Amino acid sequence: MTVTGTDRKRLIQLLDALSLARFERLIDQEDELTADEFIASEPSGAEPATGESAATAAEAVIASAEESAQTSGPRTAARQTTGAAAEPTRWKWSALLEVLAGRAGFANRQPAWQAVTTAEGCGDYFTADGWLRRHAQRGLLTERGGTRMLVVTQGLMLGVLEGLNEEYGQQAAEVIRRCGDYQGRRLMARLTAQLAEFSGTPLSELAAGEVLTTLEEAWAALGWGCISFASEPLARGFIRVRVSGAPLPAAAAEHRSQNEATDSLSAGILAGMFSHAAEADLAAHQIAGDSSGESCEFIIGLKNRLAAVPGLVRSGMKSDEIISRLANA
Amino acid sequence: MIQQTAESSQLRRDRLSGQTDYPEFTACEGKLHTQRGQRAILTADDFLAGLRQGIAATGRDSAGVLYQCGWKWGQHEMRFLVPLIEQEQGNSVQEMDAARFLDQWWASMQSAGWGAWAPDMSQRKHGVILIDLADSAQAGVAGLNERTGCHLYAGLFAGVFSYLTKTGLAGLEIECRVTGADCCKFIVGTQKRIGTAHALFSQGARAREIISRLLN
Repeated sequence: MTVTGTDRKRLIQLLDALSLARFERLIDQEDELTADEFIASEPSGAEPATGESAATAAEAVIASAEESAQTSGPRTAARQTTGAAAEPTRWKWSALLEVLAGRAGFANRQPAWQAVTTAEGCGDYFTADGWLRRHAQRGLLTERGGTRMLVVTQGLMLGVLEGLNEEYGQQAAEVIRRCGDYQGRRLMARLTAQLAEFSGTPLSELAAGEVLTTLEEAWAALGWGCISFASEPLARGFIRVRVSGAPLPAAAAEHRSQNEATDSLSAGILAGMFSHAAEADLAAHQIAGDSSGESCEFIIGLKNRLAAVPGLVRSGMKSDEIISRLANA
Repeated sequence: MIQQTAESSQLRRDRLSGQTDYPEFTACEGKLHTQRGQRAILTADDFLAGLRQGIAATGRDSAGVLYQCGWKWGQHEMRFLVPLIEQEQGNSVQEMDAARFLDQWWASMQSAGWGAWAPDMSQRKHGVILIDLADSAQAGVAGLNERTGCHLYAGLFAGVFSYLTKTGLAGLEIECRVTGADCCKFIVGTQKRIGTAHALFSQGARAREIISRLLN
């Protein structure tokens, strides 16, 4: 996207108003800064605009940003939409990841639960004929890209869980989390390549909401339950995820106790997927779960930003309160 | 190798026509179930690689832990499957043709992507069951420096036959595709026999030699 002179002035006004004046410098250096330079750039120290003028500018820039979110460059989209109040799901996927990885700023907004499954996703990628292929005589399943697939029954889940518990006790959850992390990274790498080929557009160029919807579809297609992403914490550099019907809690009901992390497999997969996508060291922590394990909530973000979460969960803090505390930290 | 019976031929036709225990997709809930109603998920073989890495990160021998997981897997599979098959067939598993039952079980495993097996129970009187497995899912993700990599399968076979014979049996992989063999070879037997086989394997004996020593 090319920012016109008028838009640029309004944008600078808005960003100043939001104390994100560091972006002002970037506007004149569009597409020339590396990520390191971007992170290293210092705020300009410009005086914030008044509330009224900022609000007027904001309206104009929001409209502009929303219109252009699908066609502008990643950093431009991040800059506009993080400074403005555009829905994070309308950012480009790459822009969202920049915020998630802490390489771009975020707006100061209060978190709230709101599912974002409004986008179309990548169409019928997971339901189209040929996604899963069976080579009956050899006992092989492969997905469209050629990766070998396996049906893992609850019997195997239970076997792994019991075997690891016997060997490691409470540390078994960490082994499962690592297993999930590895799976998540590999899955994200494959999806990035295959969906780009399938849709004809690099994932980084798609709207964040579209990619998140596709991830929801992937999750369901694999039988891992249903996931939904909350929109509001995205703007603060967190992803809040609700997972229902995950296979591990269903298999592990007898191993659970209150406040204990119950779905380390989903936590690992989520952390791995988003770490790979954002090229950053992210963590996923379970922050809520009902007694049956049927529905769990996770928060994903930079490891150092989430360092306090396990302690807050152990103290019995509710998920909304945890999110609020993180958002205002 | 076990002779193909009329029933197993029918199973093969069923497999080819898709009428096996293949998971059905319930999209609205994001859940898969096998046709016999067992919850399942689809995953890439990364699951096996990740499990191995997760265990290795703790500094412990992944082979032993994976074997234990496999053994318990076999027990759980049989606890689920045996009552269903008994109900379908109208008699107890002990009264069924063993080859037929095992072929039914592996048909569902083969449909689920775990490779093609050929059990040889002709040496049962010597206390040994031999199993050849083509296209092991674990061999593809095993470490490069390992002589065998399919410890989950070894535990699975031991767990299944332990359940069916009501005896504490053990299993061992004695040849693996990871070393360039055409298929993976397993033996299942008493703890003592498998202990002997393990000692021979550790000394560098090849599969044929191990089997020969056990049978003589």
